[in-house]
Parts: sequence; structure tokens; C-alpha cells
Amino acid sequence: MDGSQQRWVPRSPVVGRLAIDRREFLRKVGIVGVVAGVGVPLLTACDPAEDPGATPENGEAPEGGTGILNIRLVQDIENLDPAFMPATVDDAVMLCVAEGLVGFRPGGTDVVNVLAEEFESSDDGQTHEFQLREGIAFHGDYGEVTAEDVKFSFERIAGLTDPPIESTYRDDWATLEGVEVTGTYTGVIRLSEPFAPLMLTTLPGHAGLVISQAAWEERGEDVATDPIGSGPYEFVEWERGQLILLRRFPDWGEASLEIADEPQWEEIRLRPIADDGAADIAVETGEVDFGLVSHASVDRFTGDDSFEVTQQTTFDYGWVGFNVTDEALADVNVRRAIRLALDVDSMIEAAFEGHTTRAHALVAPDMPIGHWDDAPTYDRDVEAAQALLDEAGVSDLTLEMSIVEEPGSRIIAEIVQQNLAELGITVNINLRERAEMRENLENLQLFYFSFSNSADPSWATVWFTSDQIGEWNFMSWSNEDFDQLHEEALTELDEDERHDMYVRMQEIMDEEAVAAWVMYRTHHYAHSPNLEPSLLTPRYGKYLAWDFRTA
Amino acid sequence: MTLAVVVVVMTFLGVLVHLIPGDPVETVLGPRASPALAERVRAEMGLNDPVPAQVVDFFRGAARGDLGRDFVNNAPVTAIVGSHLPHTVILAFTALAAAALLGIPLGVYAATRPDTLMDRVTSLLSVSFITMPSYVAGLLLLLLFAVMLGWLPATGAGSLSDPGDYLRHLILPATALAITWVGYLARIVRTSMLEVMGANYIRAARALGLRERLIAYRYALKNAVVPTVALLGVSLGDLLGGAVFVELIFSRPGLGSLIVNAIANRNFPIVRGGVLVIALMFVAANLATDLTYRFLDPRVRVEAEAR
Amino acid sequence: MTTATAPAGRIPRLVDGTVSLVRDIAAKPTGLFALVLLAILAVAVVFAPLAAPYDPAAQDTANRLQGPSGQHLLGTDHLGRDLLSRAIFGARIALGVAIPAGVLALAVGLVLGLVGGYLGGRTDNVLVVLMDSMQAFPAVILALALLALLGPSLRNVIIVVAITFAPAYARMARASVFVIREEPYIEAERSLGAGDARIVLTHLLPNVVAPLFILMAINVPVAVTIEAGLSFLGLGVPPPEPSWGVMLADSRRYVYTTPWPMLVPSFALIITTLGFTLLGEALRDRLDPRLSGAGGPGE
Repeated sequence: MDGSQQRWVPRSPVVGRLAIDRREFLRKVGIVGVVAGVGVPLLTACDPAEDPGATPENGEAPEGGTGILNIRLVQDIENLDPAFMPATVDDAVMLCVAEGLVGFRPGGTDVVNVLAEEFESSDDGQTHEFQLREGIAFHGDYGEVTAEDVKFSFERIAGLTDPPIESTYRDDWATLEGVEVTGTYTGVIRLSEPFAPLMLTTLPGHAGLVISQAAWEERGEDVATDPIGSGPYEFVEWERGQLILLRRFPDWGEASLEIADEPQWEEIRLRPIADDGAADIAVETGEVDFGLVSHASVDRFTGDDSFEVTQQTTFDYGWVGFNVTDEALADVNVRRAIRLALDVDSMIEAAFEGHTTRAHALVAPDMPIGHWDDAPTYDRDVEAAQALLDEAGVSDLTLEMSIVEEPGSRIIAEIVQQNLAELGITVNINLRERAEMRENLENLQLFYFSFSNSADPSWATVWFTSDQIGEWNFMSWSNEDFDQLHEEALTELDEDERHDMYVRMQEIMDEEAVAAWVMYRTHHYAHSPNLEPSLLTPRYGKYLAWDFRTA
Repeated sequence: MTLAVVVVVMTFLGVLVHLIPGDPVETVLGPRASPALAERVRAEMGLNDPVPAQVVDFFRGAARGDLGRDFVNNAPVTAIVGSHLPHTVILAFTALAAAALLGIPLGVYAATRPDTLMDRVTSLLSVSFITMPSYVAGLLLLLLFAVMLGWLPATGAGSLSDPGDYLRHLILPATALAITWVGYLARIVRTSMLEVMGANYIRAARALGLRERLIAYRYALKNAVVPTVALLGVSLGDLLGGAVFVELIFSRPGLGSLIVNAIANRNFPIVRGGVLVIALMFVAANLATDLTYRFLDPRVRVEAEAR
Repeated sequence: MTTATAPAGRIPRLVDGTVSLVRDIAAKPTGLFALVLLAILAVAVVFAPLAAPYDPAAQDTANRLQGPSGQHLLGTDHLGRDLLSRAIFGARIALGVAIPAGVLALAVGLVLGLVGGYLGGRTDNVLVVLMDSMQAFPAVILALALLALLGPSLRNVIIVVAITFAPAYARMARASVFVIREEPYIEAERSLGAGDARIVLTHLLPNVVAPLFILMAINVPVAVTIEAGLSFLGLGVPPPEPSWGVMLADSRRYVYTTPWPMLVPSFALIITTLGFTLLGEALRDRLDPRLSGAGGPGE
């Protein structure tokens, strides 16, 4: 299989579990703030290939690069070790510092060779031979990238080293038997079963980054905040809470030139600014050149000629959910009543300044298949809601609404609180930690949550199957038909058939009122019109900082 | 005496977790923490040891300068607190200096023109300043100077390597913090001066030549020194508290924002370490003030002993 | 001579005293100003449902972030709620925390001060060290640390604020006790066989308490400030309560769009703190001139 293979087509019965692995992965990567989403690129970013000034051929870009790029991060980095990276900001940094065998090219879903000179997969998908480019240097004095490093990088995540580490992302290498080193620069990746996400998430993603075994063994824990890679930028300094400084690595082996042209920056400075308001100001004053801005200020930036707003639509979805096993919410009429009482349009308006799309079902409109065109729209109707509630014989209800810290969640919770007050339902808002909330799913009642998503509907529906109860099925909802349809759709090859199945699944969810759909997420980045960002949507809705160009 | 206070403070912090009924780990991490994390925390905090042992451990560690490790990154708390501390200290002292530079002259000005319109205006201003909380001042300053006028930066601290830039970033936050104390200082200076000199004398002094006037003022001012110093000492505690808000509003790094974020993340070791450092600074400041106080005014020495 | 008077005579004296007190305060311009401000506040607190044109929680997203208009005298917030109504109800929260906290702090401080001051010796030393330790923390930091453990709720905020103030009351009470207990009539009472409890309750308490009330008046604005500050940080009262601190926190995101959500609670806080502080000072000038003149923060 050459490196440009992109579409994931389900092939084996193992696929159900694989979807979960990938999902789990996306879930964990998409914590707090900027969220992952593999999306068909609907971007206004410029294709770097159109920019003639930066290609090495015409020799204009200087060896070391010039200029400093300042980027806003939504939070400080925590752990840059690919085995443990908890959040997308960590990935944003590592995208500049480390490289993998293959990688995504910005602006599309192409996967191209990076560190691998050659990459060949067997027909049964279980054996993958690679040959590394020679003479690619690691930062520091850690020598060249060798097959031993590849072995170390992948096996440690799979938990195959001795002693094994408990990597968060071991599921990405779930079927790895081992990496056999056949020469200094050659090796074979052996899987016990074919693993479809291998070429779409594992290898081009951060679980496929090749790190220096020598550096990792020497630095121990420190490597989490002082990593070594082979990428175009070295990790220079971390001023906690203030700055991550990356500097152009003069001895870069240029393995990533397949992805994008020679980077132009001398330094890349990433600044964690957790507070939205402060971030807006930082972008406004030019303290940062590029950053996610709050929904509240998008209009301000759009209307300002000195800025440009780049939009990145994702398939991430947010919804108000009900724990159907809860006494108060077990009656479907109660759930329907609540759904009818919610003012979702207000939520979109107030929580997202109208900048997200209202969702009426699970699958976003831009997904290749699975969008339910005729999904019903539930507009707020307090009378009808009250009637349903009366029918259910319920009055004087008190419910707890759980939310986590993410953009818009508090406002949505306050709106829900107010909406339901008109039905005589008292809502208490509880802001929780994600980990803690997931530990106590039996006690959930109402909640608002959002999931990241990627380009196939199965990666959304899987989280609502019975298998996921106690894990990611927050509603604790179980429906046999739904489960069965999900399994069948995974192996159904006829696209129309599959599409109908996913629509049917969404109909079931709607009948049982398991969710009040709210929105599909959009990122808005503000920057100078002279800066052309480089978006890498298949890599969890990220951007490739080193590929940003000045116009 | 001060030592006793420090000991109590540290014991309090060490024991704090156990004062709340229920499983201390739950208290620290929130209800029903995940079992894996809970276990790690228990081991980390030595919660499996008997309580007195834990407190002693904390003491011993703190004496060595080791404040434990935090929950999120397992990084040494001392290092984390240490990296944030300078910014807060700089902010607090700058605010102190600003308060002194603005407040004392204001007070002198008002004292030299007692019972005039200017005096009353200054008086009202002082009270308004006194009553304005630092976060309100901060928000309003932000609104006016950063948002509406755009004269000064609104976020961050700038880099210490570029003092000019750092200073620019310091102006609004330091002013916000200082405002309350400008009011207090102005009032106390005015009151102390008038106490000694009586309004009439001062008014009369204005008719004198410049040199005599200055001598007269200096005499009055001397009386203001002791209470002013006392006030400055007290102000440090308030400044450290107010720094929390100002750091948040202006997105400055510092101990205040560190502690608030740690609370939000239930990262208790940082809360404990940070609060301890602040308490120690406060106690040290009080001690320094006390000593200066006694040095400046022999009368106070005697009184203090009687206390 | 004892200062106890026949119970029947006390109440009319109290009323008389209060009336003349108010009159004296109103005589000065700052005092009058304070009374006016506080009157506004009182109206807001007592008559909130009548005074507020809207339900403070009523949302109207179609009209969010509007400036002052005919419909909304002070504009609306990010959920379309009327700012004036929220400010008015916010007064209830502010004083609903500050006053109970003040009373609680007074009660606790009084007891501790009486006990320590009267018993003296080891008990007193222990208490002093304890109180000093608590005052070793800036109030906000102490409140933060305590709330971190107790968790945010209205009740906990009151408790925490009370705890931060109690030491000041304790010290003041204790100082007064020291002075009074040396008085000859106390010796006389004791030699007549009066028990400790009786002495404390009938002689010490009434005389110690008066300056504490003044301190409370001065502390109320500080308590309001602390509550709003804690709410600003998200550690105070939970939604949808319109605490001024919460209003301030919410307003930050929209500061470029409209300044009103930030100005309204700021103004409310300033009125309240100014009013109480001026009142406290007027009280101090009037009741206990010894205490005035320092002009320092109430201790």
C-alpha cells in the first residue's frame, strides 16, 4: 500500500472494536477547548502549493528562516510524550517537533511518506515493511533516526516494552505484535490482525511519531516537557503558563518536505492563554499572530479589515442528553417534554453567537453519508411540553444538569435551567471534571456534552450502542435494533444501503428522545490577512504551525 | 511569637484536609474520584500514614524547601510556585510603590489645604478609592485604557528580559491593585499631619516663605511616618489577595492565578504550597513592618511589650 | 458603679439613641450621602420583587447585549436578562452574605475574645496564636483555600467570610476585656460572690459589644467585596443567582461589544461599599471618637 491510500473501508469483523479504539483516541485527544474532528476540509485556508515564494527551488527562503510566529494555545502543555498526550495543544507542539513514518498533507486527506523512504503493506494488511530515509537527525546530539527508534516508539505505546508503560493510546496499536528490525534503516511492522485505522490515524497521527530511544531513556520523565524529535523545530524552552519556544532546527533532515515546503520561521512561540477574553485581546493587539477566538468576538474580527477569520467546520457535535435509566427520566414522555421545552436556537445564539450550526440529529450535513435530511425540528413549545409532562403524570421535578468546562457549556446550562423552570422543573447546575463525571455515569441526569468526530458515521453511532454503557454511552441507553444496525452497517459495502441504515438509527434515537441535539462545532481562528494558516483537519482539526506562510 | 504563628499556619494547612468530615482524598479530589487517581493521591500525600506523621512530613519537607509534587504533572510544587512567585512579588511591590507615590503626595496636598474644596474633593476621592475592590478597579481600567483607548496592553506580563515592555504590562494591574491604598495612605498622611499641626497652623504656614513652610511641613510629615509605614506593612496582605483578581483579569502569570487554577483543577498540593508561601511572605512583611515601626518610634516599643 | 439599668428603661433609650444617632449622621454631608446610598440599597433589598421591572432570571436571547433603552433601563446581558433587575436582586445576595457573615463573625469573635480575655493565661495565649495565624493569610487567600475544600455554595461562602473576619472581632473584644476586667467594680462583684459567668455576661459583654458593631458596619462592605470577588472567580454563589460578582465575570467576554454588563454591577458594588464605609466612619466619629483619626482599614 503506498502512502497515499486514504479512505478507510471497513474490512474485518474486528472493525467494530477498531472504531471504538479510534473513537477513544479521538475522545482523549479532544479534551478541553479545541476539539478534534476529522473533517472533509471546508476551509478558507490557502493551499500552500499556490504560494510560489516559499518553495526551496527558487532559493528565496533562507536556510534558517526568518521571523517569529506567535500562536495562541487554549491551554498550557501538559505532557508532550506521544504515549500520554492528553490534549490537542500538546499535539500542536509535537507537530512541529516530531515526525512519523507518514503524515497528512495540509488541505486534504492525503497521507504521504515522511520519515519512510519506502512503505509497503502486505495484502492481508498484517505486515508492513518500511525503509527509513537515511541521515535524518534527531535534535540535540541524539544521532540519526533508525529502525530501532521506530521499534521503540511504536512498541512502547502498544505496551510491549519491558517494563511496559500504560500508554493512553495503546488502543491505536491494539493489534501490534511487534516491530522487527531488519537493518539500520529497515524494519517490519507486524500486526496480529489487519487494522484499518492504521493508515488513517495511527501512523499519520501522534501515535505514529518516531521518537529518539536514546533521548527518552536518558531523560526519563523530563521528556514530557522537553521532547526530542526529528522535526523542523526544536523544543527550546517552556516558561510555564507563558510560553513554549520552538526554534528552527538547522540540521533538519527535511523528511516532511513531502507534506509542505520549507518552513519560513526562525522561531515559533506558542502562548497558552486559557481565558477567551484575554485571548481575543492578544490577537487584537498582535501579541499573537494566530489563535482561536471566542465566538463572541468573531464578528468583531470579521468586520475588521486588519484581520481575517479562518473557519474550520468540524463534525463534532454537542447535545443535551438524558440518562434514560434515571428514575425521573425513564419515561420517554418526560424526555420528549424536556426536548420540546428547550430553546436550542437561543443556545446557538447565546452560547456560540450564532456561529455554530444547529444540529437536528447525530450526523452532520457534510458527512459523506448518513445525514438525515428529514430530521424533525423541535422548536420550543412550552404548552405542548407541559401537556406531555401532564400525560406522564409528573410535576415538581428537580433535576441535576451536569456540564464540564468547555466553550458555551455554562450558558447552555443556564438556558436549560430557565427553559425548564417554565415547566415547573427545577434544575441545579453542576460543573464537573470530565474524569469524575465519567466515573459516575449512573448518577447522571441531564447533561450537556460534545464529542469529537471524524468522517464516517460509524464513529459517532458506536458511542450510543449498548457496548458503550458505562464508558461513553452517557445516556446508558440500550436498543437492540440500534445495536444491530450499527454492526451491520460496519460491514455493508453498498453506500446507499449504509446511508439508509444510519438514517434509521437516527430515527430510533429520535423516537426514544435520548438527546436534544444542539450544534455542530466550528473553529474560528483570527489572524492577519498576510498570514496564511495551514490547516490539518484530518489530524483532529489541527493546524500545522510550521507551514504558516506570510503572503 | 512569629515562629509560633508560622508553625500553626503550617500545621493548619497540613491538617486542613482532615478537618473536613469524610475521606480526605475525596475532599481533595472532589466526590468519588477515580479509584486509580485516588490511590495515587493517597500514596502521594502519605494519607495512609497517621495524621501527625503526615504533618511532620510536610514540615520536614517544607523546611528543606520541598513542598511535594502536584497532581496534574507530578512536578515539584516548589519549582512551580517558584516560577510564578516573582511576577506576583513584582506586582505587589510595584503597586505598593505606586500607592506610596500617589497617595502620600495626595495626602500632603490635602493636609496643606485643610477644609478647602480641594481637600474635600480629595477626601471623597480617597474614600471612593478605599471602597473600590481591586477587581472592579481592574475591570474598569481595562475597559477604559485597554479596550476603549487602546493605550496599554491588556494581557500578559511581557518578558522580564525586556524591562520596558514588562513595565508597560505592569501599569494597569499595579494601578488597579494600588488604588485602594492610595486612598488609605492619603487619608492617613493627611490625618497625621493635621493631628500634629492643627489646621490653622498649616494654613498660616502657607503665608510664610518657602523655607519656613517646608520646615513646618516636614515636622508634620514626621508624625505621619510611623502610621504610614504601619499601613504599608498591612497593605501587603491585601495586595497579595488582590493580586489574585488582577492577575486573572489581566492574564498575568503569578501566584494568585496559579492558586485559583489549582483550585479549579483540584490540584491541592499547589494550593497548599502556594498558600503557604503567601502566608510566609505576609508574616515576614508584618515582622519587617513591626521592626521598622519599633525602630522608628521608641514609644511603640514600650507599648508593644505591654501588649 | 454598675452600668446595668432596670430592663424596662432600656428599650425607649435604645430607640431614642438611634433616632438621635441618625439625625447626627445626617447632619454632615458625607453622612447624609451615606444614608441616601444605603436607603437606595435598602429599597433594593427589601422591595426587590416590586422594584425590579423584570424577573432577574428571565431570558430573552433575541434582545441580548443591548444598551439602555426604554424597555431595559440599564440594558441587557448576554442572555437577554435585564441588568437593572439583576442588579437589584444582586443586592439581596450581597447583603444576604455580608450581614449574616458579619453577625456570625461578631458572635464567634465575641465569644473567643471574652473567653481569652477573661481567662487569660494559657487559654489566652493559644487563642492569640490561633487568631494571629488566621490573620496571617490575606483574607481572599484564606477564603479561597477554605472554599476549595468546602465547595462553593451560599452557605459555605457565608461561613468562610465569617471565618476570615472573626479574628479581628476576637482581638477587639479581647482588648476591651483587658481594660474592663481591671475595673474596681468587677473586683467588688467578685468579692460579693458573683460567679464568672455572671460577670462576663452582665458586665463585660454589654460594654465590649458596642465597638464590635461599629467594626461590623465597617466590615460589611469588605464582606460584600469578598463575596463578589469569590463569585467573580466562580467560587461563590451558583447560577442563576445574580450575584454582582457573577455579573462581572460574565461581562468580561463581551466587553468589546457593550460595556453595560460590566458597568452595572461595578456601579452597584461601588454604591454599596461607599455607602457602608461612609456610614461606618460617621458612626465611628459619632460614637467613639477615640477610634477615628487613624483612617486605616478596620482592624
